[in-house]
Amino acid sequence: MTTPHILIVEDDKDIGLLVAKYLKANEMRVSIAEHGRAMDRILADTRIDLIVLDRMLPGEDGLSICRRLRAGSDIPIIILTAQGDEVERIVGLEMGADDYIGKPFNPRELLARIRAVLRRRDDARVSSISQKRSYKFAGWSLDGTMRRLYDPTGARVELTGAEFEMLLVFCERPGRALSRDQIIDLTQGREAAPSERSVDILVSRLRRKLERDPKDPEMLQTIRSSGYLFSPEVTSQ
Amino acid sequence: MNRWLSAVLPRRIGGQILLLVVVAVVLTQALNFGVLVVSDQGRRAESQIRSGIGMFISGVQMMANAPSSDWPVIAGIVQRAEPGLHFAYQPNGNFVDESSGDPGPLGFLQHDLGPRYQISDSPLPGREAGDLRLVSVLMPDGTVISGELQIPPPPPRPPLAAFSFLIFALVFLPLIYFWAAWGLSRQLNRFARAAEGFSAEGQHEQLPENGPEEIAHVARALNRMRERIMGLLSDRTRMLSAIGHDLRTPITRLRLRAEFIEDEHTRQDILKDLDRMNRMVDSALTYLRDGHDSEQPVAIDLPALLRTVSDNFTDVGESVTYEGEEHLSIVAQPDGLVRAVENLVENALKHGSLAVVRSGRQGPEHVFIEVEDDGAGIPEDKRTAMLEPFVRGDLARGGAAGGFGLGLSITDSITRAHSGRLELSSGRMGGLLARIVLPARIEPVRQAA
Repeated sequence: MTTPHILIVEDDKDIGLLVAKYLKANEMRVSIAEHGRAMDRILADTRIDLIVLDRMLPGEDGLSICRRLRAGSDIPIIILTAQGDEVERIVGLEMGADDYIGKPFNPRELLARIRAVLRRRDDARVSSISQKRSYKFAGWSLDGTMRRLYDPTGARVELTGAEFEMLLVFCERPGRALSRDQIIDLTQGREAAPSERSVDILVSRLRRKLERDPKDPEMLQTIRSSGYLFSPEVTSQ
Repeated sequence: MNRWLSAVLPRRIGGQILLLVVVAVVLTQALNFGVLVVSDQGRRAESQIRSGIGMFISGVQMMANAPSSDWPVIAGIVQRAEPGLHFAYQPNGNFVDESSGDPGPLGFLQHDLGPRYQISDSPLPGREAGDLRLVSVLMPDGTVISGELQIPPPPPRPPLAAFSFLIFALVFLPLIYFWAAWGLSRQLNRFARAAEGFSAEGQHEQLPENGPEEIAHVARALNRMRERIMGLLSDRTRMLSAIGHDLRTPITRLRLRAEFIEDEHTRQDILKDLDRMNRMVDSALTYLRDGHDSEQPVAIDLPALLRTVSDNFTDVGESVTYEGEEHLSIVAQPDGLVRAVENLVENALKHGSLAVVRSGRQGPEHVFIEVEDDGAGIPEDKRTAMLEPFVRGDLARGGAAGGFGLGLSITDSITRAHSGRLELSSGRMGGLLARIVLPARIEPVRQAA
């Protein structure tokens, strides 16, 4: 992967510069726009890999920009929202943003999310899997956009971020034995830096939420000496 | 009519009571007078009836004891004394005993005359009205004596006039006073309820500013006070909200700047403080937003939600465990419930070293969520106060522990939005045991105003 070029659209100069400084220190090229028109000028003559878009902007606001961008391109977008605002989050994701992050945010987490979104895009291009990220398995459904899991009765089952990411990895690769290293690699950079031990913990937590009998798992099977396998038939939508 | 009345009636409570007493006294006297007049007439009529019956009986008894030659004289005397009796006799007259052995209303006559006489009565031919009947007595010698009597005689009356005042005093006066007192206390109760039910979230109707002048005055004052309080509350909301939102930007900047601090130790300390500041801002904004959230209730797996909350704390090194049901489906607002439980766990960890989260069924229609810690607990007399916003358990430690003292109040209001309740007690580990009891299925909540 060549050095990705990130465009930060943020009206607070300090925050823009600080994020840029941090991302540059982590081997990314960064441009900054303070509003929608500046963003358009940059997009017109630069190839941008990902946009970090502030929700609150003077003039045209973040959501409207997001909708406008989505109409003509599938450039990855991460929205910066006010933290804890559920409605904002949902609206953002529905407007076509790839991810969101609440202010104030940990720059490491922003970096991790930028990397995750970029990797997903690359994956999608290489394997030409379309960007539909909703899956059904054994009566369960996993909504990738809203980041939600529903059991066969339709009840919402709460997942931690790491659990969600891992289940997503399994749903994208059903019936394949995944080693702990692979799982770490595929889920990397989300919440905490994962270890082999944390993979085992996450699997056991997922089993408690998914399996009828967590001690005798049917869906999330342990493959001796190699890792884990997600056995149900998965359909994506 | 009402306007006319209100123009005439006194407007102050004192005047109304005076009017009431005057009206009551006048009514008593009028009633007394009326009863006297009526009972006097009644008594006169009654004595006439009684004397008619007495005369009839004396006539019959005299005739029974006198030779038949004296009968015309006796009959004549009786007839003159009570012309209304139409007292007459007929030797070997036609006596038809229509009575069926049951003396019925004539029992009293039979009793006065003795068993040797047979008595019968029949309706007076040609006259239907009244109790006036033709009474016939068959003498032992076959003579039939007849007369027109009012049967049965009215029972003796109680001296009504004497009772009337008592009845009035015992029944009507209390009723009138009760009515007046009820009118007043109903208004006062409404004020009490209005003051009691006053809260920042609720919708309030204006108290009606009518009734006696003093009451209307109080209603007006209460309404104005309520408006002023609502004004203060919304000022507070605006101020907190502005502070909260405005703090976000500098906190975000600091958060980013901290990343470039070389000294690991200093950076961690700064990050910790920033985190605390951010949580305080968050709790304030959450508190302000509560009750204005329109999150839709959906079916959720409660244990999964509680495990998620516990695991998120475990992942940052806290000691939080979940015990209880594995799967339990309820209808609730998931994000609200997560916030409610997170606050309880945060509170538990603030005062203790570990937290235990439990859930299960309570009866057929309720579920419970418990969060228990091993801290010092809250003394019983302070528990209710802890649910109030901006109240902290330990003022001296409040600053160090962080927070505005909103955690429990946020949990309490989320619980109430779920038609549930939050109970605080002491747990088995000696710390605080917070217990949320929820209906297993709440109705989709009404859109909060």
